[in-house]
Amino acid sequence: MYLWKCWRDSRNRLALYSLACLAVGIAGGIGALAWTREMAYWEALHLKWYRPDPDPFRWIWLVTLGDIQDYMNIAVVWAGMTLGATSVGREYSSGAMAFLLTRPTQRRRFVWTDWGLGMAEIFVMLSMFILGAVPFLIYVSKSFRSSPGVLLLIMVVVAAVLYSLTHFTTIATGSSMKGLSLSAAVVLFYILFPTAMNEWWHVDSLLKAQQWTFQVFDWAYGGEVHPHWGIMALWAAVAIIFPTLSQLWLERREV
Amino acid sequence: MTETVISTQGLSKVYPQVRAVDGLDLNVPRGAVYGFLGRNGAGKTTTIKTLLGLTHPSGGSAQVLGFDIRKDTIAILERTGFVSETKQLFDSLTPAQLVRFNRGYFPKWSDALAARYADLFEIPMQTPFAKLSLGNRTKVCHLLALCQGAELLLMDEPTAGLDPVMTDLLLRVLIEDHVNEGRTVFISSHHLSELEKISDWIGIIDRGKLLLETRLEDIRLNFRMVTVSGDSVPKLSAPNLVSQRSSDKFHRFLVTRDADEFAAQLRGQGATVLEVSPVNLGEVFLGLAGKETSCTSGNAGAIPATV
Repeated sequence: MYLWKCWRDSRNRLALYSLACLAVGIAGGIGALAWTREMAYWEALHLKWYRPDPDPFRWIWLVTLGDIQDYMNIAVVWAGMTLGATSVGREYSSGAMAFLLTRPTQRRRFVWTDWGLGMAEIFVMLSMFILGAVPFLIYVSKSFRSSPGVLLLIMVVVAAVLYSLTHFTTIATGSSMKGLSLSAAVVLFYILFPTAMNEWWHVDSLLKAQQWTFQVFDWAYGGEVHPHWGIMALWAAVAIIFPTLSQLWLERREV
Repeated sequence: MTETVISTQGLSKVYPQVRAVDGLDLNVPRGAVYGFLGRNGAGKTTTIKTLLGLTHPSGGSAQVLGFDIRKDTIAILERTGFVSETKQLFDSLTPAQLVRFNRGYFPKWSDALAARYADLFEIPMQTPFAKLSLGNRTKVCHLLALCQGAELLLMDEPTAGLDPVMTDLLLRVLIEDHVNEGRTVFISSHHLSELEKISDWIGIIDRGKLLLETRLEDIRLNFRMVTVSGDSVPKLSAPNLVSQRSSDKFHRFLVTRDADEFAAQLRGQGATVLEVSPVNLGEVFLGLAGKETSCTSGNAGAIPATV
C-alpha cells in the first residue's frame, strides 16, 4: 500500500520530468539528423579528414550520445537529489511519520519500497533521453550502433548514488531540505576535498582515487565503447549501501 | 487471552534533558475504558508512543495484549488502533484514499463500518487531508482507527478540535460499537468531564510517575475530601491520604478510603472537622497533580491492590 501512496505522490512529477527528458533526447536526435545532412553535403569530407573512419555513422552515434550525456548529467543530479529528498524521510517533517510507523509492517519495507520506486522512476526518466534520440540515429545510420544502453546504465548508476545518498540524509535528518543540503555538502566535499588536499598539502593520493572513480563517465573513446565495469560496480555498491543505512536508521529512529 | 491488556512494570523513558516516564506500573484490564490523565508534559504521550514502539523504553518492561513491546511491535500494531496527538496523516491523500491505504494493512478492516462512520461523522471523503479542518482531521483519524477491527484503541487527546455534538457522538460510538464488543479503550486526555462520562478506570500520571490507578466507581464510593479548620496543619501520615491543601485556616485532605476513621484521627489532634464530602474526578486530579502539597508517597500503585 505504501507503494501505491508513493506512486500517487510522484506520478505527476515523473510524467513532467520524463517529458522534459524525452524532449531533450528528441532535440539531440534532430541535431544528429541535421549533422548527417550537413555531412552528406560536404560528402563526409570533414569527418574523413577529422578521423579516417570507414564507418562515419559510428561517430555520429557516439558524438550525439556524448552530447545527450551532457544533459543527462544535469538530469542525474536534479532527479537524484529531488527524488531522494522526497523519500520516506519527508514524512517526519510532514508530521505523518507516527501514522506511517504504526501501520503493522516492517519499517524496512517502507525504505525499500520508496527507494525501489524512486530508482524505477530514475530509470524511466533517463531512458527517455535515449528513447528520444535513438530513433533518429537509427534512421540516419540505417542500423543500431554503439550501445546507448551502456550510457544509460552508467547514468542510472551515478544517479542511484546521488539518489541513495539524499534518500539516506533525508531520513537521517528528518527533513527534505536538511537532507538535500547535507547531501549537496557531501557531494561538494567529495569533489573539492581531494583537490584541496592536493593544492594545499600536496597530497595527491585522494585526487588520484577520485579521478579513478570519475573514469566511469569515460565510456567511449577512440570511436569504441569501453565501459569501466569495475568502477561501475563500485558505484553500484555505494548506491546500495545508503538505502541499507536508511533501513538501519529508520528501524532505530524514534518518533 | 490475557485479562490485562496493557501491563507495564517499572517502565521508563529518559531523554537527555528529562525523565519523561519514570518507573511506570500500569495495569489496564480487558474491556475497560481507561482514562489516562496528566498535566502537559506528564508523560502520557511518551507512554503511548513507547507502548506502540515509536520510542524505545530506557528501562522496565511492558506487554500490550500479551505481547512484549520490545520484540512484538508488529503483532501489537496489528491489533491496536491508534489516534495520535497530532492528528496528522498524509496531506496529499483524501480521506477516501486514506481508507484505501489503511485497509491494506488490516485484515479485519471493515468497509461497511468505514462507510457508516464517514456518514455519521460527516467527513468530506473527497477533500485532500491538507485542506480539512482540525475537527475533520480528527474525525478521519478516528475513522481509520475504529474500522480496523482493533482489540485495543489507544487514543491521545481524541476529542481535540471536535465540537460538543461530535464529541458526544464519538464517545457514544466508542461505548456502543467497541467497548460493548469487549474491546479496550485507552484514552489520554485533559478533558476530565469527558473521561468521567465514559471511563471505568482512571490512571493519573505526573512527571512520569503514576500517582493513582483505580476504578472511577471507587472514587465515587470511597474517595472523600475531609475539610478541617484550625491554625496549624495537623500532622498525619496515613496510607489512604492522597493529598492535602491548605488555605488560611482551612485544610482539605483527600483520602482514598476510611474517611470517617481519618476524620476521627484529625479530631484526636484537636482539629475541627467541618465536612467529609464525596469528590469528583476533577478534585482528585487537582489534589494529586495540582500545585499544592501532595502526600503521594506510597499511594501510587498501592491503590489498585486495595480496590
